[in-house]
Amino acid sequence: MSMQKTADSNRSSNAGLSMDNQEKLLADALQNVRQHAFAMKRVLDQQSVMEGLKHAANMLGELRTSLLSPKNYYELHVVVVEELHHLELYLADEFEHGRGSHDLYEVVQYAGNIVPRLYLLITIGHVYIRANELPRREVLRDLVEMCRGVQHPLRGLFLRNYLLQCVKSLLPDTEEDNQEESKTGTILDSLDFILLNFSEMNKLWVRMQYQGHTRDLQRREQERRELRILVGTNLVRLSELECVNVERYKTIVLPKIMEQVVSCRDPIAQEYLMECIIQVFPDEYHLNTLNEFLKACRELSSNVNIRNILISLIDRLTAYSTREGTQQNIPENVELFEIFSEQIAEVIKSRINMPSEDIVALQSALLNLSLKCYRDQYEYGNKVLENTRKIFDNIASDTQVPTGTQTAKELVKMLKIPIDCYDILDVLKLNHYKLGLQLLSYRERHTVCMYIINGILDKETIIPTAEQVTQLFELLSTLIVDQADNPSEASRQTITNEDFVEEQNLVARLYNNFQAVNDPDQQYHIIKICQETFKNGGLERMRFTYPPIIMQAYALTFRYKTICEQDEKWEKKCQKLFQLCNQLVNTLTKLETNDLPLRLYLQGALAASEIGSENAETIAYEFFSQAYTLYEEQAGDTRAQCASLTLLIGTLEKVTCFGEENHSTLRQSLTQAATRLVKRPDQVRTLLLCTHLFWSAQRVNESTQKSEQVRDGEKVLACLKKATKLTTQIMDQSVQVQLYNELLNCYIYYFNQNHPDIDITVLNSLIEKLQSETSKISSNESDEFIHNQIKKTFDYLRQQSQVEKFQGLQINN
Amino acid sequence: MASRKKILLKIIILGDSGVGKTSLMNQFVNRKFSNQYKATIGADFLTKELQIDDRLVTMQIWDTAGQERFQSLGVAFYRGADCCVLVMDVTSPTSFKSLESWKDEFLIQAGPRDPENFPFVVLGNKIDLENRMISMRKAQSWCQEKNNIPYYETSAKEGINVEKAFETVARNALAREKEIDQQTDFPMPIRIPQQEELPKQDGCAC
Repeated sequence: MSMQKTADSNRSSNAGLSMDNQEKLLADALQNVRQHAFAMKRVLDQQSVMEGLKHAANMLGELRTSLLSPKNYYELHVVVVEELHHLELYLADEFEHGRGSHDLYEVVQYAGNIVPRLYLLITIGHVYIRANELPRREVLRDLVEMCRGVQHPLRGLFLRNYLLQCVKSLLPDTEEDNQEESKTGTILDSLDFILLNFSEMNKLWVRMQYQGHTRDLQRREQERRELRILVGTNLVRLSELECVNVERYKTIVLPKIMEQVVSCRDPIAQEYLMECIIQVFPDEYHLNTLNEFLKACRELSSNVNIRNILISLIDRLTAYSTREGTQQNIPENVELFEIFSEQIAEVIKSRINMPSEDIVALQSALLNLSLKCYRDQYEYGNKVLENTRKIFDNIASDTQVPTGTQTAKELVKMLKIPIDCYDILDVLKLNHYKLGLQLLSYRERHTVCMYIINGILDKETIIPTAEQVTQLFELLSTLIVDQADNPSEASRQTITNEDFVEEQNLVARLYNNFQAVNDPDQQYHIIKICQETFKNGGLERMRFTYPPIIMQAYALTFRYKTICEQDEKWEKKCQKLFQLCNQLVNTLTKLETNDLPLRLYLQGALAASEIGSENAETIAYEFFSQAYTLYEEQAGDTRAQCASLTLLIGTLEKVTCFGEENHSTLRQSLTQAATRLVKRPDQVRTLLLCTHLFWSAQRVNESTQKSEQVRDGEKVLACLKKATKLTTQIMDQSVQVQLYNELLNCYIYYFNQNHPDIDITVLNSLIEKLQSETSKISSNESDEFIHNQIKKTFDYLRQQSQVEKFQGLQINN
Repeated sequence: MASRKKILLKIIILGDSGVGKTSLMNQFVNRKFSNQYKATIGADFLTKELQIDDRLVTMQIWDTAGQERFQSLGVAFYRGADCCVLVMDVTSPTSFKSLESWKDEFLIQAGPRDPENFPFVVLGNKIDLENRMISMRKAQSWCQEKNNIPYYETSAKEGINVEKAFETVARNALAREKEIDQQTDFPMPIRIPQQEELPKQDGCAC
């Protein structure tokens, strides 16, 4: 059979390396392949086998090129093999229909070039074995031996990979003691076959490293990395054999593979093949050969990145023991943790130049393993953290890992593992965690602390005791107090710094997770701990951290109230809480804002009033008067002033524990304050609010000791009249109309409340006034809101006009 | 046309690592399932013959590595595929999210004709597990959005729906094959165009 030399013409040129050239070479080769393939299929359709083989050989001739890069050769190879598959299907079909010719295996041996010859031999051998035409065992051995004829690494690797692909379904996979199988072979033949092919391929692959100029070394190594998959396929075949059970793997397969891996002394091959073993064989096999595998690891070249291999294995076994849906457990006799921690210690000790990020990465993998596989054995996780710390102490004690380095990143990753696996209460049991955290510089510590808090909030973990809160604060101190290693600390602590605000808001939110359920005294301890911790954080942090403590303390007084019958000291405890709160709010008054402390004081007054303990009035008065003082001191912003006064009025209306004396002082002060506001509309509106202080507000009747409404109709009327008078003085007509409407609403309220001096005539005169004033203002868009309000008032009145009480109501249309 | 000829259909299975691509293929081809996990490295195929109506087809099913680092030689084998099976694990939301990028990546690398109508089939595997995270409705609505891709819920372990799903794969691949065959139905003798790429599945025009 004569072969057309298609690829040879290019072979002399050395220009195959540039990208453009590569594309052209590949395109040409593919074009040729398609032509030959087309011709092959055409003659096969005409039942001309010999012609078909000739075209196939021509097509396969394209694989003789030395010019293509591995990836491009692969692309060509894929297409060729696919076309070859048509030949295979044809031959198989012939045999099925009893038309197969028996001498093809001999015939193709006369093909002129070795590459096409071997591809054809493999293809035909494959078909013959399937058709039971030739003895399986001999042909397989023949093929794997003959492939030695191609010693060019690239061509040889692909050829043998094709062999592996073809024999996939042919490899004998039966036990050796079966007599009948002796002709077709047993598992031992398959092992010989694959292991031989493996060692031949590995040799070809390693040899690439040493062929050609040293200046091309980098490119060559890259190409070798691309080709590794071809070698790895041998291991895949081994893992697919059912007769390769744990025992056989341990006694034959692994030792043979390891022998090849260790003896080749090539770092690229060693690193890949070890990784490959880990990936393609099942977990149970690794668990049973851990010592053998790890022993081999120590015999690898010192240029092998052992870190990746170990991490790969640890991660795989960790994933195995935690895989969902299946109850996989690490066998009791396999002490995974001990084995790996010893091995890692050995590796670190023996490799003096190992970079510290690699050390941390290894410890990380070990930590992951111990937390996931041995959830309840905290001593394992603790041990890893302790060892990590020790390693750093040995390198340089008392210095932090510089920020932004690879080592710092690995450490952060490591410290996030427990947060992901555990809830915080379990993390606190790892008492070396804190020491690990302290290895980091400010920026990384900050990252981890934020991660911790977010973890608690996401998982909604409840932290129930003061002791745990204390431990948590020790971990989080980076966020809680000023840090010596953050030079920009002072300048960043402002309300305008978004990061600072976000961070402190998180710290504050954390507070809601401190809940001593069913144990108010414990909750009290927590509050004390928080106060003692947060007081060291500076005023700008307190703005965020104090309010939740104060609110929690108020809430706790309510809890004490509900158990007053079981706890006779409840009043004393409440008293203490109120004192604490008062003290905390006092601190907050140093902030430039008055709004926050004022609200917190008022909340205290309300709480004291609700609790109604023995000295509630004294406490409430104290809180209220302090709020009022803050209001008085508030200068400048008129809008804020009005808002504060509104809060004061609203609170006084709700507080019920004052005696007449205190209440009268306060309500009169507030009413006066209303008239002293700067803007007329503010005066009117707050005065209208003040009317309620003389009507529905409650104070304690001295003789009955019960709360009663004030119901001072005269004072209500006086306020209303004053408000009306002030309204008439307003210049802006639309504002004036709006206020008339609000006045009318207030009058309607008291009319409904049966105020003795407010009858239908009073309402009618106000309605008339409002209607005439309304008609004066234009109805532009900005006033639409006002018109709507007024319309609602009249809608209500019209509706009520049917009711007897509203007889005589006059509304103009 | 080549009606007598055996038809070879090339099928590619894609999806994240660990969703069960190899298991599905093994269940379909060998009716075997193993709980042991072996990662696939590189790409490898199995063949299976199937009778679709009156046609005997050979399915060449390519199982692939879900982890990109294992495809060191690239994905040239996507070329010439007749159908692509996208697999996700119904207990893993990430694997569901990845379907989109697997699909896009396939179309880019395989460069099929008429990519809009290229046949895909989506499999939601591991329905035997209890901790399902992706509801049938969610998966179906995703498939509907993508030009009505057929969706099957499978269990390679229990052998649920595997046969049915691959039959659909074969049918859709066959339908496409026929379409392309018709498009390239030219009479003998043939001048092979020198510049243009000849379609792969051109069949013989006898």
